[in-house]
Amino acid sequence: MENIYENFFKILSGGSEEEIRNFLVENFDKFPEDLKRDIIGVFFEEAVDLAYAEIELKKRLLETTKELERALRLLEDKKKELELKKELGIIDTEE
Amino acid sequence: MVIEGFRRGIERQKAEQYKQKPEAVPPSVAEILANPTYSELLNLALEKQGKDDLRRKILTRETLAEQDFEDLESYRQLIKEATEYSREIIQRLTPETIKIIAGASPEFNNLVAQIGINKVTEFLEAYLARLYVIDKTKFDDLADKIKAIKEAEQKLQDIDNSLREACRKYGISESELAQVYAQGGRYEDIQTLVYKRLNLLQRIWNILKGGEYAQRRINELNKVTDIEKEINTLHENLAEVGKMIADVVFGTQEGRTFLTKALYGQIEKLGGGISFKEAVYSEEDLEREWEEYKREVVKEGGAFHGKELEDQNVKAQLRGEFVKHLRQKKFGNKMGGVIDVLIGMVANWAANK
Repeated sequence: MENIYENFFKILSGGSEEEIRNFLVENFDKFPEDLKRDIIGVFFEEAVDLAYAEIELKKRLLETTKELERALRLLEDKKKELELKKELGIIDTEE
Repeated sequence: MVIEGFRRGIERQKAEQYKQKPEAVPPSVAEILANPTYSELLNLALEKQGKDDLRRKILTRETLAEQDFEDLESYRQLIKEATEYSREIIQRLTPETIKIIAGASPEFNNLVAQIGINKVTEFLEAYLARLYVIDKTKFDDLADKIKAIKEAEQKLQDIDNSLREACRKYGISESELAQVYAQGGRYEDIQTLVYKRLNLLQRIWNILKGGEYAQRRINELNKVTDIEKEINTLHENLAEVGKMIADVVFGTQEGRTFLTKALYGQIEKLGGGISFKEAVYSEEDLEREWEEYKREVVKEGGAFHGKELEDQNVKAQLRGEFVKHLRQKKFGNKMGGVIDVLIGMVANWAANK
C-alpha cells in the first residue's frame, strides 16, 4: 500500500522545491487534519506576502509614473522658456 | 459612532470584570484544560518555552505550586489573545480578500479551489492562533499585511485601471508581454529580465526620491540640448516603467508571481517566502534517528529503561518523545511554518512504527 509519508520524505530529500510543493498540493486530501491546517497555513502566509508585494509594487509603479510625468512637464516648460528667451534675444544658451 | 460606543462599553465592562476577578474573563484555566483546541495551544506554548515540568504536572494531574498558577495565568492570557486576534483576522478575510490573496499564489489558489473558502478559513483560524503563540512578531507582520491588502482592496480596481491607462500611453501592448513568456519562458531568462527591470525601477525610484529631483535638477539646466537629453532619458524611463506595468498588470499568473517573488531581494524586502528545502530530511535519516533514539532511551538511566516497548501506551509515549527529540535536535527552539509541516510528517511517519 502506498505510504504517503515515505513518499513525502523521498521527495523532500531528492526532489526540487517545486516538486515538494506540488506533492503537498496534489496529495492534500490524503493528509490528516492537523497537517492540512499547517499546509494551508504556510501557503497562506506566502500568498499574503506575495499579494502584499504585488500591491506595493503596483502602487510604486503608479507613483513612479506620476513623478516621471511631473518631471517631464517641468522639463518641457523649462525648454519652452529657454527657447522663448533665445527667440527674444534675452539669452543665448546654445553652444 | 453608536456601534463604536457600544463596543467601547463592552470593552470597559470586560476590563472591570477582569480587575475584579481574572478568571471572570473567559477562557478560564479550567476551560483551557477541558477544551482540546485551547489545551493544544497551551501545550504548544509550554513546549515553545521549554516548560516541560509544568507540562508533565498537568498531564499527570500533579499538585501545582504557586509559581505554576502564576505561569498558567499568563498562558491563559496568551491563549485568550491568540484566539481573539486570530478571529479578528478571520473576520477581515472576506471571500473577496481571499480571492485577491489566492490570486498571488498558484499553490494557495489550488488549495482554495480544492476545499472551498469556508474550510480554508476554518483551518486558518486554528493556524493563526498557533502562530500567535509561537511567533507573535510573524503574526503581527501577517496581520499588518492583511490589513494593507484589505485597505487596497477598494482601490485596487482604480490602481489597475490607472496602470492599464499608463501602460497604453507608453505603447506597451498585452501581446508584447505575452511574447516574453511565450519565448520558451526559461526561468533564467525571465529572472534576468525581471532583475534588470527591478534594478532600473530602483534606480529611477532613488533618483526621484533623492530630494526634489525635478525642480532641483531642472534649475541646473540652462541649455536646450541638455533639457532635450533629459527629456529623452525620462521618456526611456517611462517606457521601461511601462514595460514593468505590463508585466504586473497583464502578466500571466506565472509571470506575476515570479515578478513579486523577485521583489523580495531587490527593492526593500517585503516578505519571507517559504522554502521546504530548509527542512530537508530523508527517510533513511529518519530510520537511523529512530533506531538510535530507541537504543538511547532504553539504556540504564534512559526515560524508557525497563519499560515494555511493545505496550501500546508506552509506544505512543515513545513516538511522541521521539518527535519532540527530533524537533529539538534539528531545529532547536524554532517552530512554525515549514518546520511544523515537517514535524507533522515525522509524527505521522512514526505512527506506523
